Amino acid sequence: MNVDLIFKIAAVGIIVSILGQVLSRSGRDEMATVVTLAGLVVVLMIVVQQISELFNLVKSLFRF
Amino acid sequence: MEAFFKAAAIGMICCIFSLVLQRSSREQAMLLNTLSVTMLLASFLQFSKPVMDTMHQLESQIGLESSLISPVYKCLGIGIVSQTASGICKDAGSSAVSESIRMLGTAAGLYCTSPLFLAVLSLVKDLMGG
Repeated sequence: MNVDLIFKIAAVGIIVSILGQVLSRSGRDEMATVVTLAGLVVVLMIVVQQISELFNLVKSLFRF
Repeated sequence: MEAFFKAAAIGMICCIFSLVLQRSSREQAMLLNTLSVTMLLASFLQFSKPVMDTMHQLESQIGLESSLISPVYKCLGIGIVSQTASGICKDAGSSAVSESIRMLGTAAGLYCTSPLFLAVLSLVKDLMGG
């Protein structure tokens, strides 16, 4: 179990939300959307990897 | 036992971060929740591994056919995955998707156990002398 991963994702989320706020307040709404989407993709990649590992574990444990 | 306390700590830390992130970006909070659920479930499965090994040993000692007990394990796995996926979807606010996953899990469980029903039926037929 990797606790660092939780902190990493929380940090990415906080940074992305701060950048999004700063960019939208300075009138660059399209850039804020791009930053939010980029952050989402980065986090999604990590989560998908973990989900894949979990499914493999389930498959091996329950003899699929 | 250390793994259990670690898992509990992960759950609590994730809840706090999720509350912080929910104000600004709900999708990041949802992804964080998904990650923590995945990790906790993986931890649960690691705990279950010795139990499953014991079950396999019992199975071999009794001399039970693998084809008879295998659908039961598969059903258990399908149940765990469908329940978790459905819960995640419900948390994200998609009740319809959640219910669909539940129904899909039920159908997959029935699909896996249908050979078992046929085996029982043929056994009953044999006992009846038919």
